[in-house]
Order: sequence, then C-alpha cells, then structure tokens
Amino acid sequence: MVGTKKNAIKILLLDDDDVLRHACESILVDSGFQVSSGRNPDEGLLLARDHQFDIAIVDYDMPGMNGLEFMRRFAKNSPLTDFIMITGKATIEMAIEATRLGAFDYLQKPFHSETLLAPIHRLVEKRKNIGKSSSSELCFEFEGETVRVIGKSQNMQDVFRIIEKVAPTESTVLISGESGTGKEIIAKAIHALSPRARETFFAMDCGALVETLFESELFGHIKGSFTGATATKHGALEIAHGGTFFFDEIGNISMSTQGKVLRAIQEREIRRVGGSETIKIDVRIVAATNLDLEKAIRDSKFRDDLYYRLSVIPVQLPPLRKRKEDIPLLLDTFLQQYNLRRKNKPIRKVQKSAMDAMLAYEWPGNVRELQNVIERALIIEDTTLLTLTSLPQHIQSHAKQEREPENMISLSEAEKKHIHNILHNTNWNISQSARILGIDRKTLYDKIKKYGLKK
Amino acid sequence: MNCLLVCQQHYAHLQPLSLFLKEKQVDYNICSDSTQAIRKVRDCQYDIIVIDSEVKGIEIDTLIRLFSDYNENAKIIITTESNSKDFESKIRREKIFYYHIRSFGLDDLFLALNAAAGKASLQL
Repeated sequence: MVGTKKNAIKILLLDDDDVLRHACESILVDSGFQVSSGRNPDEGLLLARDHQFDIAIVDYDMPGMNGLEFMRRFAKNSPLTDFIMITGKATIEMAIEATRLGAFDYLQKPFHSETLLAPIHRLVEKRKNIGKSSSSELCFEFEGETVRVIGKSQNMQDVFRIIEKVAPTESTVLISGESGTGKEIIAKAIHALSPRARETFFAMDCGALVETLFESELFGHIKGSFTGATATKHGALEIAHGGTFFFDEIGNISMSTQGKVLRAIQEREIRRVGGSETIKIDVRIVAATNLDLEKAIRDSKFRDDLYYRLSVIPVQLPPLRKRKEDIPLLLDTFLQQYNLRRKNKPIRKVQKSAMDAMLAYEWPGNVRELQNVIERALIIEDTTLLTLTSLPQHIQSHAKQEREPENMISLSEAEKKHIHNILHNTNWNISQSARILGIDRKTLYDKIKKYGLKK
Repeated sequence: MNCLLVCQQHYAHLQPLSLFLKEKQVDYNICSDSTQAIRKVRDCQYDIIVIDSEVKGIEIDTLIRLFSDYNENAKIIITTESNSKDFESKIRREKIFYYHIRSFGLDDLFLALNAAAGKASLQL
C-alpha cells in the first residue's frame, strides 16, 4: 500500500491502463490517501482479502470481468466500501446500473486531477458523518438519501449509543415505543449501519393482514396442486435473504403465527404454506412494537419464548413528552424540510407563544404528530413567522395567555386565520362553520375564495 | 372521492373484480395501461390500487414507485399470472401491500382487498 498517513482513507485503484493508473496513484498519494492498485479484477479481489478499503476506484473495461461485475462481487465481502467507476465510454445504461449497484460517482476518461479528487473529498465528508452520532443527531445513508435522527436529550443519546454498538452485529433487536416515536427509522438505521447495508431492508406490518394472508406473504405459499414454479409465492422472508427483516408491530400477530415466526428465527429456515420443503434463510431480524409485550405475555397473548428471542437487544424509544428539550431542534428540522416547498416565503421565526404552546403540549402522537402539525402550519401561514394561530386549536390552548406584539396583525389577517380555524375545527363543514361565524354560506364561500383557503 | 383504482389490461381479469366491488358498493375507477394509471394516480388520491403486473407501458416496479411517490398512503395490491423468484423479489423491493398470484383464486384477492380496506378505514 502506498501512502503513509495515519488514519488515512484507504483506496483501491483498479485499471489496466498502466499510465493512467500510475498518474491517478500519484495524485491520490500526494493528497494524503493510502492507495493499493491493481491491473485487473483478480488483483483487486486478492487485495481485498488483506485490506479493508474505504473507496474503490474501478475501471469499467477490464480484462476478464467488467467493472460492474467486479463491483457486485467485491461488495458482497466489503459492503461498506464506496465505489467510483471510471470509463472511456460512459453510457446512460452503465451509469444507471452503476448507481443502482451503489456506485457513488462515475468519471469519464480523460479527467483532470480535480475531477478525480472531487468525489473522493465528498465521500470523505460523507464518511465523517455517517454512523456517528453528534451531540444532537444520528446520521446514516438509506436508499441513497442521508437520514438524520434528531435528539439531544439524554434518553435519545442513550438510544444512539446502543444503535452504534448493536448495528454492526447480527443481534436481534426489539424496538419499543409509542406510535409516532420513530421505530421504523431506528430499524432502518440499524440496517444502514450494518454490514448488510447494501442488501434489502424489508419491512412488514404485522397488523395489516389476516392470519392466513400474513403467513402466505411472510413464508411464501404453494397453492394446492399448483406446484409449478409459476404458482409458488416465495414470500417476504425468502426474498429478504441476506438483508434485514423488520417486523413492524410484532405484537399484532396471532399466537399460532408467533410459533412459526419463532421457528423461523431459531432455526433460520422456513416452510412455505402448503409446502413441505424447508428453505434456509439468512436475515437479520429487527422487530418493533407499541405494546407492552411483558403484559401481553402475562395476558397469554404473546409467547414468552418469542419475546426472549426477539429482545436480545431491547431499544426503548422515549415519547416526545419525555424529551421536550428536543422539540425546538425537531421544529427547526421540519421547518427546513417544509420551507423547501415555500421558496418565496420561508418561515424564519417561531412566535414565542407558539413555541410555549408546543412545549406545554403532551404530543400523544409523538414526533409524527409534531411533523404533521408543522406541515399543516406552513400551509396555513402566510408570513415568515410561525404564529400561535397557525397551530391546531387543541395545541393553541396550551399557550400562555398574555398577548404578544407578534399578534398585532391586520383585521383581514385575523379574519382569515379565524375562518380557517373554524373550518379546520368543523372538518370543513361549510354549514356548521357559517353558523358559528354568524354569516351565510355564500358569504363564507366568498371569503374562502378571497383568502385562498384550502382544506 | 375515488377510493379504489383497478388497472387490469384483460377484461377477463377485470370482470370478477368489478362484480365484487359493485356488490360491495365501492366507488372505483378502472384503466388498462400504465399511462392511464399514472394520470389517474397523479390527479386523484386513491386508498387502494390493484394493478396487473403485466400491464403495458412502464416496468411494473417503476410504476409502483411512481404510485408511492404520488400517493404514499395507497395500499398497492399486485396481481400476477406467472411468478418467479427474481420477479417477486423485484416487486417486493417496492412498497406493496399484497402480492396476489392469480392461480391462488379470487378469494385470496378479495381477502387482501378487505384487509387493505380495513387498513385504509374503508368499508368493503
């Protein structure tokens, strides 16, 4: 390996063009990277046996195996390596396929040193953040997008610590928490930060289907005499082979199905509904529930053996009311997210009374409820200030009673907001709203049109 | 409000589904190719979408992704004549509610429709 810097990013460089390979190697070493290079895919796979590479820069046209095939094989053993493809004849099809397989970028020959270094520097930046929880967030890549789980409260920081430790292992994880606390996003984080990150993350809502259909979807199904390949449903567990399987709301499955799920987890094999053949599966199991499973065991509604098998690593997500110090941070994140849709008038500030109300409110729907409330408020709000009146009535009522200078709005603005609140509270029942407002239906329709109010 | 979209390219597959939905007095729209389906999903929020995997036009996995983008809460039920592991794998990578193989019979599909309706708080 060329290059001596401690903790330097390790790069594998593969190209059968000696001149280009040597030139790239010099550029990369001069920039402080540790580089191993080879002339063909076989050399690359040999190097990968002894070294763990952060980045692989691979020529598409190589003898014996093209760059995409190499990438497929290499990624099986080194799932955390990022790829940059280089090619003399880039085609859209190649670029799409490379990206689909997870290539970070592709470069067309000939290229300047800056062109080579730019994607590497971007990757270095990305790697600095991925899988690391800062003081206020856990950051990971999922299906090509950067995902941030927000939380500076101690109980969320504890969750981040557990995820960092448990994600790279094969341990089964049971995530508990009320609805809207973000159980699925935590499951995705565990997958994304694991060696299975390049494989499928498969989520199944255990409460969505009746028992017979659920088992057919989960384990696969061979129907009656239709035993041909075309009449076999393989099922989600078999399809998820190699990846992570997420049982959402595991507490909703029947006792009889629980026994079959337990067998699948214990034996790592399944049998299709209507079939006799056993099929080996290799999936990492993550499950989530909003129920108290220990109580469900006491009530004979959940098998204790399945519970103990699932809760090897238990992760408890706190409700939002128990981490209210995260609300301003979450609010800021959602505002940034939804402001992208309000290019002309982004919300810049939150009225103090609005913030007070949100901090005083108990948020039974947790983070999801907060997100919905902010999305709704940004639709209603015309100014660059998030005001108390743009929040739902039941949250407004938690505000302190004093009036603030920000409430000094014009009569028409006040009328617009009042009408909108009434319409919202009556679920847009025009007759009822008109009655409450003391105007007739036609006048209400005129005002809805005038103010551009929408459901 | 239209709550259900059925996209089947063959009348023989559409007919029993239509009868079932009429009997249940459910509002539904029909279409027979992917272009019509995209237009309908773009213009209207559907609770349930039943789509034939062999529908002409765009590749079915791309189509499911588009449906999910336009209408993230729609319960998507895929119906297919023939199946293979690769094909099922491709479909299941997308967000679907149920994967129905026709040789499993209409009751399998109707049960899935009832479950999807239950999830979408519809009465079937």
